[in-house]
Amino acid sequence: MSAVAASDTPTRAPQWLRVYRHLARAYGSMVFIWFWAIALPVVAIVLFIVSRNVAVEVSGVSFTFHGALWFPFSLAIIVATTYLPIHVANGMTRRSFSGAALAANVTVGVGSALMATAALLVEERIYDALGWLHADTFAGNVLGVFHDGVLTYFVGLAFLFTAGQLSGSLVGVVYYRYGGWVGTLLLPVTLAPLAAIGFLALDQDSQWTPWDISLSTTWGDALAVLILLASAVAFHLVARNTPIATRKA
Amino acid sequence: MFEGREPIYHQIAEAIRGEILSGALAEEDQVMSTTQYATTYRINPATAAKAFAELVDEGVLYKRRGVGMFVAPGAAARLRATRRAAFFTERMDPVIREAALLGLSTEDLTAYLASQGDLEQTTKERP
Amino acid sequence: MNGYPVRTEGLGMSYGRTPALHSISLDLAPDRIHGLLGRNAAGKTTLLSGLAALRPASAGTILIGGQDPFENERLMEHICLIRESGDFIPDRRLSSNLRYLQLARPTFDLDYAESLLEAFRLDPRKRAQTLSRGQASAFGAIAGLASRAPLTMFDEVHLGMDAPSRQRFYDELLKDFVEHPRTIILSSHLISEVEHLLETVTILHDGNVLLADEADALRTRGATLTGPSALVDQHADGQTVVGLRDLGPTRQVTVFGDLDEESLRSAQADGIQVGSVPLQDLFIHLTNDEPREGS
Repeated sequence: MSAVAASDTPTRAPQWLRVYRHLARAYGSMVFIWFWAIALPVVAIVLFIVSRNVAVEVSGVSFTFHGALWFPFSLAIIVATTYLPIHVANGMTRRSFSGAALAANVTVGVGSALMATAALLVEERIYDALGWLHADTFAGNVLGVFHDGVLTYFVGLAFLFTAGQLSGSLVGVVYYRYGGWVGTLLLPVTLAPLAAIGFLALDQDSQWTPWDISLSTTWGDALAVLILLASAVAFHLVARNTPIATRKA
Repeated sequence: MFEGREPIYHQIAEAIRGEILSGALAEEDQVMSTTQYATTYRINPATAAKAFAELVDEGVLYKRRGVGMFVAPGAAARLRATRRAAFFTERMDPVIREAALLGLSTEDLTAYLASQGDLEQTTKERP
Repeated sequence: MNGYPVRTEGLGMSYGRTPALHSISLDLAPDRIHGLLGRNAAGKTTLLSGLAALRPASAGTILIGGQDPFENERLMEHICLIRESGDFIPDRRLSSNLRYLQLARPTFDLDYAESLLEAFRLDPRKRAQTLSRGQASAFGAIAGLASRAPLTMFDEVHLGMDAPSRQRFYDELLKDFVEHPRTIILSSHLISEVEHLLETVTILHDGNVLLADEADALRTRGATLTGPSALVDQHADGQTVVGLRDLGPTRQVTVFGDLDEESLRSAQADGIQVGSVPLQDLFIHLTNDEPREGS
C-alpha cells in the first residue's frame, strides 16, 4: 500500500467514531449555528416589538422549540436517506453508520436541550429584570417555566429532542429500505418514539409542546427510556442488511 | 493500431525485432520500459512485459538491473539467422501463390528480381 | 502482492423475487486489469454491487481476498466501486468530498487526488452537485484512482466524459497501476477503447457468465473468413460460426473457438482472406440473440 501520511497512521480512530465526528460537525453547523443563531435573534426582535404594546407573559424562547424539534428531525431523515448510501458506497459498513448516526442523535438531542435550557435561563433573567412573567399561558397556568426545577425541564427536553432524532432516523431508514408506500404506512410505528415520549415522560398538558415540562412517574421515565432504546435497536436492525440501491444517472 | 490475430505481446515483440533488424535499434541501445510502452500505446503493462520476457528468453534483449532493457550484442545477427530460415516459407510462398493467381510465371518473377539490382548491394547500404 | 483475488462460487443475486444473476462462478487473479463486459441489464452492475458488499448475495459465495466482504469493515474499506452516478456528498465542495474519502479509506492518497483534480481541470471549490455529467464522471474516476484500494472497480465510469478525458483516465490508470499494482475490474461499453488495457475478459449475458478468458487467448480464438460463398462455407465447416454477412457473391463468416491454425492457413492458400476479430465485434456476435442475417 502506498505510504500516505495522515490517513494511514496507527492512531486512526475506529470507523464509527470517524463518521460520528463527521456527522456531528455537519449537524452542528446546521442546527446550532443556523438555527440558534437565527432563531434567537428573531425571538429577541419579536419580543421587543410585542412589548411595545402588550405586557409579556409568555416565554418567547419556548416558541422556538417546535423548530428545535422538527428541524433536526427532518435533518435526521435526510441523513438516513442520503448519507447511508453514500457511506456504504464509499466502503464503510452499515454497522458503523448506525452507531455513528445513533450517537449523533443523542448528541443533537441533548445538545439542543442544553441550548434550549440555557436560552431559557438567560431569558428568565431578562424577564425578571424587565418585570415580565416568565411563564407559559398555553397550559392555562401562571407558573414559571421552571416551576418543577431546571434539571427536570432539561431532562424532559433532552428526552423529547432525542426522541425526535431517533424518530427521524427511523422514518428515513424505513423509507430508504422499503420505499414510499411502506414508509408512509409505517409512519405510526416510526413516529412512535415521539408520541411515546410525549405521552409518557412529559406532563399531560404539554404533549407535543414542551411548554410545561414535568416528568411524571418513574415508570413513565423508564418506559420512555425503553422506547428510545427500542427505536435505536429498530434503526440498527433495518440498516444492518439494507441493500444499497443502484442509482442510474 | 494492433492488427492481426496474433496476441498483442507477439505483435510488440515482432515490432521490436523488426526495429533491430532494420537498424532503428542498435546493439546496446535502450528500449522503452514496459511502463513507457504501456502508456504510449495504451496497452496493459503485463502485455508489454510478456513481449519483453519473450525477447529476453531469445537473447535479443537483456536487462540491466535498475536501468532498463537493452538490445543484446549480436541480436541483429541472431534475428537475421532465424528470419532467414523462415523467409522462404513465410514470405516467398504467399508471393508465389499470389503470382500464380495473377497468372505471372517464374520468368516474370526472376526478370523482376534481376531488374532490382544486386541484393547484396542493397544489404550493404543498411547500417 | 497488493491486490485482492476475487472469487465467486455459484453466486446468485436478486432484486426481491426477480433474479439478476444465476450461479456466477468467477476467478479473477490479483494485480491484473480485468474486463467485465455485457449488454445492458446483463448483470454487470449487480455483480459489482455484490463484490462491493452493496447488496447481499441470495445464493452462493463471494470471496474477496478469501473472505466474504458483506459488512466486513476491514475488507470493505479496501474495496472501491465507482458507480456511474457517483457517490459523493452533493452539497459539499469537491475538496470537502476528498476529505470525506480520506476519512472513509485508509489507503486514500489525498495529494494524488488533488493532482488529479488539476489534471482533469476540476475546481476543488465547486460543489459536487453543480458538476456536469462529464465532470462528475471524471471526479468518480479520480476518487477510484486515488483510493488505491486493493480491489478497485470502475462501472461505466467513462459516461459523459469526452474523448480526451477518457484517454487521460486510461493513461492515469495505467501509470498508477504500474506504480501501485492492485486488482482492477473495468466495466465498459466502449470495448474498442479499453480492449488493449484488459488482461482478462469476462462476458456476462442474461445473468450468466458467457465467457471468461485471457484477452490474448480470445484474440486467437476468433477469425473472419472472407471470400466466395461456397469456398468460405467449405472452410468454415466444422467451426463454430458466430457471425455471417453476405455482400453479393462474397461471404464473410466469423468463426470462434479453438481454431485449427492449419486449416486457416489452407484457407489462406485457397485465396480466402483471414482476418482478426476485434473484441467489440466478438462481443456483439456472441451476445447477439437475434437470428443471423444473410442478404
